[in-house]
Amino acid sequence: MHRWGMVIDLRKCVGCSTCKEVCDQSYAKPPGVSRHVIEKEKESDSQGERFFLTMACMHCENPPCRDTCPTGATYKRLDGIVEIKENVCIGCGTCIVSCPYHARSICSEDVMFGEGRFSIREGSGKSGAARIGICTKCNFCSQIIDAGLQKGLKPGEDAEATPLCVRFCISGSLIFGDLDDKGSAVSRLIQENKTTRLLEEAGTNPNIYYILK
Amino acid sequence: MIIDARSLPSRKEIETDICIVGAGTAGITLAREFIGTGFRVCLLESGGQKADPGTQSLAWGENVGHPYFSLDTAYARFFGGSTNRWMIDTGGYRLGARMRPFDPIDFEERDWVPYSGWPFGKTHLDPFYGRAQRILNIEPTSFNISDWEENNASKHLAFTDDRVETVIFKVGLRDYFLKTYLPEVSAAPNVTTFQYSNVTNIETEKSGGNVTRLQVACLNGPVFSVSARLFILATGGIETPRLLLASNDTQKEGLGNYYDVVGRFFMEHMHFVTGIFVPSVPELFKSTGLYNHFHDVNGVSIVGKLALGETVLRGEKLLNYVAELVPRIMLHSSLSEMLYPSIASEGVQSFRAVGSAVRRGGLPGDTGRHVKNMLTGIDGIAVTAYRNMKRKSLRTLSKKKVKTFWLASMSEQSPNPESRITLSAERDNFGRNRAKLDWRLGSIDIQSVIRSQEILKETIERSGLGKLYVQFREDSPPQMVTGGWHQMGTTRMHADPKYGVVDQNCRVHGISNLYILGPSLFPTGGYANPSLTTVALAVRLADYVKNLLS
Repeated sequence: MHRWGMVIDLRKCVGCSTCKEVCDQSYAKPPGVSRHVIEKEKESDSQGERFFLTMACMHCENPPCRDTCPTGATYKRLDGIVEIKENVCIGCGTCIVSCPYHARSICSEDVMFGEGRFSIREGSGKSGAARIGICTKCNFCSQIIDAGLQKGLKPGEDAEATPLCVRFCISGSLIFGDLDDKGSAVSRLIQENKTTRLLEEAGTNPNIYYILK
Repeated sequence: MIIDARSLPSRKEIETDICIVGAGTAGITLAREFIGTGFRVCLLESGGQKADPGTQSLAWGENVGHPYFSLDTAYARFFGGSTNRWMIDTGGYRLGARMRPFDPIDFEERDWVPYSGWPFGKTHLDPFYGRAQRILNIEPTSFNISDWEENNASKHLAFTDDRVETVIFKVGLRDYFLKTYLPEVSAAPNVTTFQYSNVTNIETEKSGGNVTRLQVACLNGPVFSVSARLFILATGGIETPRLLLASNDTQKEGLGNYYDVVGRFFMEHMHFVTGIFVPSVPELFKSTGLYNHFHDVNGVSIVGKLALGETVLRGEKLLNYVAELVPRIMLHSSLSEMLYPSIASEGVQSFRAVGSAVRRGGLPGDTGRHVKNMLTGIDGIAVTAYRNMKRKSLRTLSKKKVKTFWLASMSEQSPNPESRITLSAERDNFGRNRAKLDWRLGSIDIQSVIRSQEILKETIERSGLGKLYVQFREDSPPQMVTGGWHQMGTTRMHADPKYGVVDQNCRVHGISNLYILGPSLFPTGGYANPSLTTVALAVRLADYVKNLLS
């Protein structure tokens, strides 16, 4: 079994927001439901480089959103991806309060495009009006990963099987792969670099690793 | 051939025929036009194959005007340039940018738009627009609506007057540039591409009338120089004026800046949601496929948008304007809350004032105004009353969903000399002054959008298509107005050097061998995305340079 995770190399991130834009566009996200790309206010460090922090769902090993969800809508797949059963979610917002990473949102409206256009959106859960009022968040493009695996592709290495934010990152700062595969790019980066995870003290054990400058 | 300039010996002097600075949409198109010619071409690119923070941070600068993107995120300093920021998803993981020529009226000198007018009309540019469409693979070249309607589900909306019309936008895919043209340029024997090469100064003869060479530097690497017969800056609407202003060895005010025009007239396309269109019948939603985001017709990804007709633009003295219909399903309660507070506020307040006075046995002062407010705000009063009286029922109503279209406006900004790029006191890692952007939106820009919305509302409602709720009524630019990474106008084209930095051939006034290419040339910006016009101007300049040097 795989355990999907991501390394975000902040030495490379240029804050372009391509990850956010591609995600917003491809999933037709309503306003206010996005990845976060945070800019450091100060203009530059001593090397003249700016600092940006991109973040979304951390796909924690111990996700508080799952533990507090009253309906069981939020669950953790065997491959580590934290998912939402959209037909079970009641939009109570408990998970939003419990997530220390502000990675979840309620859809207050929905964007609907022409029928049959959004192959990415299709199969990713509910569509249209049914999404309104329920929770949403990053799912590592699980439908893309699953479809890629069925075709014998390797997520993180084959673009067609890789989350969109990683696939279209213009600086190569997002790296995706199997944390249980010691030969994967993510495992090697974690072994070879000093990495950190956000709010480890919360006991969430996130599967997103950051390489700091 | 691609050379990593960091491996060059320091102080190396490179000699070539044509030196192009910037390997973005404009630079790649231009360099590609010279493949196979007898000219030696040197293409300088600031970054490498991927974006890197060190290079990208060179673009950081100050924003002191209307809120804008951080300058280091507003354009890209690596191979492909801003092509890397083409992010319209056309399905199937294909990303691109909207393409449409400017309208004929955009090229005209309009008496209601200060500083308007290009040195030539659209008919002059039409052949180059045709070639640009071939390069972008968005042929057939027609933009006639009838050529892009497929079936009953994708017919344009039938309006009862010609004040509003449907226009077509196509999508040019970025992969043609990044995966086809860039490798072609890199493989061309007569084109040498240098990566990690940052131009730090433009040197001229003492008279300032002729560029002799460019000083180039690598971050933590060597410095070198490039001399050429002809130099073309294709570095975008922020970096190009910065480079001219900072190259002040012979002209202290900056190259080409005798009349203090360099960096002025910064323009963007104002992007914001200005209204909500609620169709009269839900079925309308199913028959508006033409407008429902991008879809393939004739092998090209297209979308329809609503624009104002030329007659009404002239008659009402408006700036050019287009609106995208973005389908959104909303909770009825959300819609009410968005629509009625602004619509009803005066009416509700007057209703309460009158009610209070009546309970005291009289009428309020200025009764006429209150009555007028109540009549115009009757919708809101009804909703407020309904909410107060039927709270239980409202809970049911709040779950009702409404199909709407949001109007995402993209409008022309009038040229304004006070909207400008200057040099900041802060310096980058090469010791060059960073850019300072003072983006200013004027009253004419805002009033034009307001009136355009009113015309859309009148036409939509008169045509029986539904109701358009205009949200945007402010006099001053709202903070939510943003740009589209379309930095235009800062080295504008004009026959008179008092009003433009370059002449009609893109040559910097007063300098015999320095040319500029890109959206910074545009005297006015219309509503269309700048990419297609940039590519058209690139092939036009290539033709001109070939003739000139031959």
